[in-house]
Amino acid sequence: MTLRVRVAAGVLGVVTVACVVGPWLLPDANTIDPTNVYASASLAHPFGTDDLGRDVLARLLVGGRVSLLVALLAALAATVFGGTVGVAAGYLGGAFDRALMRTVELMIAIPKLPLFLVLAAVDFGRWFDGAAADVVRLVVIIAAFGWMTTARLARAEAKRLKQAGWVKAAELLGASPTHVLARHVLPGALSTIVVAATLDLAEFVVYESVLSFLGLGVRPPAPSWGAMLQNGLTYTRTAPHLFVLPGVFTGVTIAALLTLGEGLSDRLDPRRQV
Amino acid sequence: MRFSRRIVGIGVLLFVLSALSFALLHVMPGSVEEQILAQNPSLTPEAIDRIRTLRGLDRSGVERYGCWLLGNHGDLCAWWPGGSGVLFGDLGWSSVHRERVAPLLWRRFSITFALMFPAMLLSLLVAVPLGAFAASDPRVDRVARALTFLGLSTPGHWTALFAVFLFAVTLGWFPASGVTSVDDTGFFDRVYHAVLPVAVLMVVFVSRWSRFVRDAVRDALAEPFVQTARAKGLDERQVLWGHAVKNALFPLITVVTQSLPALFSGAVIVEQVFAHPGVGLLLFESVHAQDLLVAMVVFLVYAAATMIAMALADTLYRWADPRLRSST
Repeated sequence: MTLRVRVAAGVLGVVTVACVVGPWLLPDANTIDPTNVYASASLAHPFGTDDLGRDVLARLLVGGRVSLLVALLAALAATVFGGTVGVAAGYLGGAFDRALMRTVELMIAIPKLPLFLVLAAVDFGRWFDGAAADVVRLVVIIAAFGWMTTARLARAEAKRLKQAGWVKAAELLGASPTHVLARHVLPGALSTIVVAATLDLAEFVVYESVLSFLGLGVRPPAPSWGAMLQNGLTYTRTAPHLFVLPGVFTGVTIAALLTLGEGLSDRLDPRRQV
Repeated sequence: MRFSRRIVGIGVLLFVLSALSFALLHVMPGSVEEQILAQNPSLTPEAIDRIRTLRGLDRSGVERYGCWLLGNHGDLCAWWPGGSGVLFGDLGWSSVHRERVAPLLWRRFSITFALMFPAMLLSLLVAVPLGAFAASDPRVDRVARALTFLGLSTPGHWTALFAVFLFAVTLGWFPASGVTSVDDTGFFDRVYHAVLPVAVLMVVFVSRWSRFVRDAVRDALAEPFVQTARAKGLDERQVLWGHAVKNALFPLITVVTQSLPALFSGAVIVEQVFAHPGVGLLLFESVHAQDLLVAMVVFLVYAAATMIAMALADTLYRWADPRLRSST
């Protein structure tokens, strides 16, 4: 592992632990203090306060929980679905493969924004309560439009593996397609899928931010990095830290994830080691 | 031959998409009645009923879709208020903007195009040399990698906000929003207003494209034909630009053509932050405000642009790379 990748993994660990543990040690993220709005950094509020006098650090960490959880769950769903479908299509070929590729092309051709709007209006509150409904909705929207890259990569890898000696050997020994797929092709394609999942994570953190920025994310007063960014937009003149800080948190997380993904793909693909 | 077959396929796909999106937009929660009431809260229930009948909102979805396509020609669609039909070139009427869709779309499209075209062209002019130099010189590579990494890591909407904060609010060099000034709408005023949004778009494009060019040129530099060129005694500059870059540009065709639909769809984030009322913002607003005829047309123009760009990418690639012509 290179130093870059180690640093990236460390940064990611610190951000995650801070988001998970931090909110217990800090003032409540939703407590309003009208006498202390737009405060700069102080001992009581290390990152100052926002337009309603809420502690910015606490909100960043609680918001980080939402942003990271959404990205993580969406990446998990997109990886499992995209990976399975992609590997199966690449190995089996034929009609299933053609159907998948046409679907992927169609999904890329469809303008996502209006569909986001439509899906954002779907009321998940019927099945989940309160904040959980918002998280589930974001995960569904992001995963539904984020599985195609993984599927494409997994398909290409499965097509390549289909020619591999051990796969041919298993086929000649009379193994069923399901067996070959599950025991020989999927494990071989796993490294590609893991790299794709890491890069998906980075992209989905951005998705969450953009969706919340357009007002399709978690509902106030619940924070998320994208929602805080959107809130900060109004106060660029009076309190620039309100939009700078969530952006920095998002950017650092994405940078760490991209570095990690690059490092992983270099490590798993010997051809790219220079 | 193949290209024309794909165009037919795209036509069929667009037809399917139009039906799907029509259905989707109509099951969307939130009713048109609420929108009408929001525009004019003093309407009586009877007046709303009349508007419903006039706009054909009491008809079934199938009926409305058919008349949207075919227009108010026959007796069957005599009630249709949306004009003479999309298939006959009449895109209909926007109930929110209170004007015909075609001129509205054209105006919004020209704003998007004026932003996206310079952004893409300039990005290409920066990304290709940057990528080529990075591939051939490790020092340039280090700097370029760091910069493009920064560009890839910062979310686009944050870059836009930060640009406004730094260059418009704090330094006051450029206007924060708008397409033109109120009192001056000349060409230079437009350019002045476009600098920041174009720069933000360029950050996104250049980071992606220059990395792509760099990798492709690096791969090309390792090929035997580059060694041959060197063995012939060409100097390093000729080898890089005449041989390696020339070959590396083929895969770039795919990447660039895939970004072309953005010329038509715009970038809703940049348009929103900089208050440039382009197509992206129009789509966002029209879905939000249930301006369905506008949403449908923008939706389909975007889908068509994407599919044509994909077909174009394949065709150009085949044309540029002779090895692919015979196979598949």
